[in-house]
Amino acid sequence: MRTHRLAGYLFILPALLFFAAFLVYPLLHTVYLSFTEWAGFDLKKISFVGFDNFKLIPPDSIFWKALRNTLYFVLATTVFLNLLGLGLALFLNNNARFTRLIRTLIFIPVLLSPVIVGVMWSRMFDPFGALNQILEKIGLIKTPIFWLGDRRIALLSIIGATVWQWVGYDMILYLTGLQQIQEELYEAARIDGANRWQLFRRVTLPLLKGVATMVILLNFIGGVRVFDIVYVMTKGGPNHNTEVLATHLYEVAFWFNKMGYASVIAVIILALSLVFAYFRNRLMSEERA
Amino acid sequence: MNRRLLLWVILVLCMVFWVPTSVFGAPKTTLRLWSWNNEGDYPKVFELIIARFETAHPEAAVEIQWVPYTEYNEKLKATIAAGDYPEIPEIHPGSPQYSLYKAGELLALNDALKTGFPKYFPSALADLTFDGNTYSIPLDVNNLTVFYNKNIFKKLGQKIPETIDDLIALSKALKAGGYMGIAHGAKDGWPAGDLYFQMVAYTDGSHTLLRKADFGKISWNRPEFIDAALQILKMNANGVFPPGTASVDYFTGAVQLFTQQKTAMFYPAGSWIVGGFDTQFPPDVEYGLFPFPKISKTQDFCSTGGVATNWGVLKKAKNQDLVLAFYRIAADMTSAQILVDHSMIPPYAIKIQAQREILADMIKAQAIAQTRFVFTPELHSQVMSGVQGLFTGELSAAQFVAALDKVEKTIKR
Repeated sequence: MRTHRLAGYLFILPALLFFAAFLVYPLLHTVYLSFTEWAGFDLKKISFVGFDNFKLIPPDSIFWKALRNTLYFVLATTVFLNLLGLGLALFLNNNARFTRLIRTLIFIPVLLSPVIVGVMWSRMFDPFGALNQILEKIGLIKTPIFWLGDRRIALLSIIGATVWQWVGYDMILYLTGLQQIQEELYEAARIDGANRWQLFRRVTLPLLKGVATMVILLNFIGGVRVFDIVYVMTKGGPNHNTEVLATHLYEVAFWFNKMGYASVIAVIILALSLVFAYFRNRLMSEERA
Repeated sequence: MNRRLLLWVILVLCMVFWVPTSVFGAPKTTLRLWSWNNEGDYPKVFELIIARFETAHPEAAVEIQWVPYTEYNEKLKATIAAGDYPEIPEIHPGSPQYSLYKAGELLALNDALKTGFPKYFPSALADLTFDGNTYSIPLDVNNLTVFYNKNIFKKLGQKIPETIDDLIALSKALKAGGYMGIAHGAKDGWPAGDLYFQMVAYTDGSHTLLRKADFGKISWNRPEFIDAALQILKMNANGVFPPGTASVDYFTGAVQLFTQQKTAMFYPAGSWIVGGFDTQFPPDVEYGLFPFPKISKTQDFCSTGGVATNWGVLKKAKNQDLVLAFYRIAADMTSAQILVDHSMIPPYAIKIQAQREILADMIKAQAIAQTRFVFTPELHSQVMSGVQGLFTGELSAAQFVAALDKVEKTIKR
């Protein structure tokens, strides 16, 4: 019995070591760095400063702008991704001709790197880029729209590109959920006189609750740590109007050389992700119960 | 495998590894050259200088490692933290170099510069010197001017503008002729910063205030700094720049606007972009340069500029003598000829005639170049994003300087 137990531990040891070295240690080290001052060059020049780095948060107006933008990004992408993902899943949950092809086409952007997507949409959103040219040609606009240069719509444009990339992922998850609903339940509801809306409201939605919870929380966590697409498309500009927590962290760490303060921002991102992860676990265990 | 065969295999392997070192001498010392300049003529220039160095020092070899511009400082920082030091690192001038100096990673080169190096222009060394010590060696310098499309100017009967008011009038004439004014990639931040530094070069006749404000010695809330922001607002409101300039990036968006002849001018331009324009313009297009127009007619012309490419020596890097030998070869008159042949400007006086008119004009403009560097990273970042705010109409000139003063208060001096 004891040999079996030992063998079990030995089997998980490589994964455990990997987990400890590349996740637990960096995480704890980041928390440690948040109490220190370090320019990021020489490991011998790390000095403990207590809570001094945390005191930099209140007067840092860019941090608050970045936090507001991050929450806006999280909320907007989650809403759009779920509405569109579910809508597409419902529309494509059949065996009609071309359904598989359409599903594949919608899923393809998921396979692309966010950097590629960012570069592509930057070109599209250029004031003299393809999108404005098309809109001008079909007579919808007379002067170019500054998709990434207008502070009121720059973040929304990035949200659009993000939704374009990830909607296929949410669609697939919802499709999996839809295909697990037994046809008999719909038949029984139809016999009881339910119309299409009632079928969706009373059968589909309640049975998709588990999948929806997971998808929403995955979108939340993905949104909180967004970096690449924002950095490529706007670098947080113009004038920090698309700054998110991760781009601000990057600037503080690698441009301002304040590793300690950057670690405070990283800890805040971690805390936000943990809050969402906690809710996810709680909702999922409720679901199981 | 029997024992005798195994012994034979070991013996043969020993011979294989022993013979080259004894017959061909000791292995070469490899020096790693880190650079982001893998476009235009820089790779060719590096190769020619390396070939000269390797001929003079057969015991050494230089290996170029290209690191993307956007990741350069982060990678250099990571490699230093890991205790692995590229021997010939290109150093990003301005705030990244200042950060390296502050972290104590750069070797002071005052003594080395006394032997075997030319007499550099004081303006070239000024931006590489902190507290009396020089921490980098410049390879070439740049000055930032306005490039213009001669064909469009000729077609519309326009002449080079002298003042900002002339520039505004020119932009209106260009618009009437179906063209836009100055292509400018403010999205990338640094061109936006350079536009502001250019304006400060005109509003501050003493050319000293920027450095003082940079190091927290004076407030940004001064007429010179406010006026510089006002000039940008004025030009933007009067159509000097294409609409949406804050969302146009430099190397694709702005370059394309100019080379596709949608705009008649391009700023900031320097020797680094000449190669790109040569390949992207149709062959019949001629382009030239002029200093950025001044604010009033009574002023002298002024451009900004400084070091383009410079190399440092990391304190803990190995083979520092060989590295300095490489830098000396890169700074001799034969290398100066190589630079000039590739449309680059050496940072010291030369008696070499530039073959192209545009390069001759650039060398002339060097005489009136003022600094384009703000060393404090937080302030440099705020200047760049602040100018974007001027372009989007989000900031007034007063708010622009107030934001800089606010940032200054958060900096630990």
